[in-house]
Amino acid sequence: MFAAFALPAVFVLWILAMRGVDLRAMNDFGLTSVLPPAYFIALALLTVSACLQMRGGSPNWVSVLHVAMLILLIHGTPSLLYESLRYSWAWKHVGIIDYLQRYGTLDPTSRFLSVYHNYPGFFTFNLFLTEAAGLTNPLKYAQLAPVFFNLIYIGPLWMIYRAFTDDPRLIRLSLWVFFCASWVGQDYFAPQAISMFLYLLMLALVLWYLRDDEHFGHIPFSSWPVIRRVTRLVDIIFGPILQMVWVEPKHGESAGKVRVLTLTHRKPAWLHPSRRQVIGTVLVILMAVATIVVTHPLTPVFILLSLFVLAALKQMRLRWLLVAAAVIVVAWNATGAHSFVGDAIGDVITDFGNVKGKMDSDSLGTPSAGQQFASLMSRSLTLVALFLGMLGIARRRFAQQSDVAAMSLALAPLIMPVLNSYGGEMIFRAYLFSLPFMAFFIGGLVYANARSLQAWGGFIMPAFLSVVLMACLMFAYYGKERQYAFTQQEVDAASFVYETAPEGTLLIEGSRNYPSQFRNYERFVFVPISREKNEVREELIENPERVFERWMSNKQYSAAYIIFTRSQRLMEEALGGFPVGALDEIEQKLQASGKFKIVYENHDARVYVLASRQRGGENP
Amino acid sequence: MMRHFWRWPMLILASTAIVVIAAAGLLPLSVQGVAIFWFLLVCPGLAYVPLFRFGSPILEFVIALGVSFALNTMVTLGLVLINAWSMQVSLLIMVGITLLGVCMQLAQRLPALRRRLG
Repeated sequence: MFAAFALPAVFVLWILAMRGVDLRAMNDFGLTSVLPPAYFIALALLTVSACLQMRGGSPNWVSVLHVAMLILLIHGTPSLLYESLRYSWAWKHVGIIDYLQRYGTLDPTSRFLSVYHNYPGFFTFNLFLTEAAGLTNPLKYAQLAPVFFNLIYIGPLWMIYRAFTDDPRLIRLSLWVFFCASWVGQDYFAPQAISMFLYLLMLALVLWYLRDDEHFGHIPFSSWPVIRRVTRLVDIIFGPILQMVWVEPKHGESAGKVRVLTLTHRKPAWLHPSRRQVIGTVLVILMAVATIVVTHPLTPVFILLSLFVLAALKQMRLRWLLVAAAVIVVAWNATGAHSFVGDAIGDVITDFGNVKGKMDSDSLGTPSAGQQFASLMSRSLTLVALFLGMLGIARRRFAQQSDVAAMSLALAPLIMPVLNSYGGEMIFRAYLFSLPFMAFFIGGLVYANARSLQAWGGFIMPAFLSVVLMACLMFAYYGKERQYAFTQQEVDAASFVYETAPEGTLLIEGSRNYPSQFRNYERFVFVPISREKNEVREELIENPERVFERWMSNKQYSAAYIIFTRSQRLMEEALGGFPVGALDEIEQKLQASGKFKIVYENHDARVYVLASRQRGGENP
Repeated sequence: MMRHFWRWPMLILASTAIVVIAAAGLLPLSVQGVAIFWFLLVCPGLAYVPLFRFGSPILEFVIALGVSFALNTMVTLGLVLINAWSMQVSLLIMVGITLLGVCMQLAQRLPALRRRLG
């Protein structure tokens, strides 16, 4: 069995590959630029092995092991290589847990990071985990979060695909495709990662135990003439095109190497769920919804949308669950999160219909070539996955498969970017919530039905898909790692500021991209200069000492610091917030002015104070 | 079937015992961390999910992860919201919830057990 040799070999190759990686040599194309050939050989070997066993014959757990290995290779690599937690947002999440550790309570009206105080489920749970495990903070385990979350997604995803098909090849390929195309990076130490798991689990349970057997998979209202005409039209348009590309052997037919697969499977659990199972399902779903609602503001919107399409298309029973979920969502937002919702509702209304979000017209520089390429790759991966998914929908329809539930769950999230931009991020969030179901249709492109691709085509097609998706993933997911990977020196510099500064300190930052706000964050007023208006940033480049002196001598702050770090510089240069070298220039001017004093310095970071304030004894 | 029934209750009871020992500070910190993570992430859910006989143990395990997260979140959030946060109290509540679930599992199977023992 090839997998028995391949999987240990992949693991050994991966470990060997990790030994020689020099992160400091990372260029603008991200982590991919420093990964040695052994890593890519491991990835290729894993892909070959996964695609070989996908054709059937091997038990399911071998397939799951391949997916787990893929997760290790993609998500375990940064966890293993980096000195500290990646993504500045993850550090903020550590900061909320730090706040809870010190105060044991929330501050929903907090000036900074108030959204986390209004949706605190993830943080209170991690507060518990951290303290019960005897840790001082969650940093020790937070770095492994992407591996953990992706691993736990396997279970509900398998359930979902199993509910859609009994073809094990399609289930395996869909699972594989999901992890090859999941580039959005919402699986880090963050509330949305656990919300995603609960979202998938909830839908898996609905599809297993609450499916409306009478209508499941069938086009609803198909007796209506208009619906009949539309479906016929789709068949007329797509049928001949697909017939030219794929020749389907008929049932029982054997043509050359093509043989018709006989599917043997156990009686599906959803055929006659017991009363006990239905009660359990309802309870788990309600608990999951309640937990998601107190954990993340956006995921409940996708839950309601998914339940709505399933209920409207008669794919689920107990449609009152949609109402119950809506009541839970409204109840929390009207009580526990009212202070945040009150402020945010205006933005949501004014943003309604805004597809583009905030434009990057505020940039003083231009994004670097590497970042433009990473952005191109992420958009390409999104479009390729959506296009292949759409093609898969048509292909499955042509192959006489009815996938109304899968199709509605794949397409429903895509409506969200039309309604709200979510700061320009909605399109990627919509992709993330659509991907589990799109992956099924991408798999359906290869294995449209039980008779599809029995011979080597069943290996070549998944392998080709994997190569295309992974090539994009390597740049879409790893493309910004140069600025997302923080060094221990940056952590040390930030720790110095956060631990020594008194209450009411002004903290000026080159940008938000560094290990920030992870300790005593409520003591500070944060001013990232990258978020200032264009004219202020131009003045800062021209005459930084004058602007900083004006800000830092303001007596309303008990102390004032400036922090510049390596990753701030890299982020601004990569995204073009400041022209290349501008932050270095600002620092040089500060040092030359003699008005600012360096109070902390290491290889990757410097911390400044206003010299006159320190002499006066105001700044520690 | 009866033989398999003991799988989860035994595992949960053993895990609970280890966590109680760990919480008393009688285990090295690294072992305490692993024991706590295992207990909090899996055991509370696993104490209740088998009550509904979803089918395969893998399925029960996957659902148990979600239920555990939900139970932990509700307990800790509740304590934080009423300004009564305490790790010890939270752990005590979670151990109580877990043991209650195990008792319910045992009670559910008691008639069958009695029949078997004659």
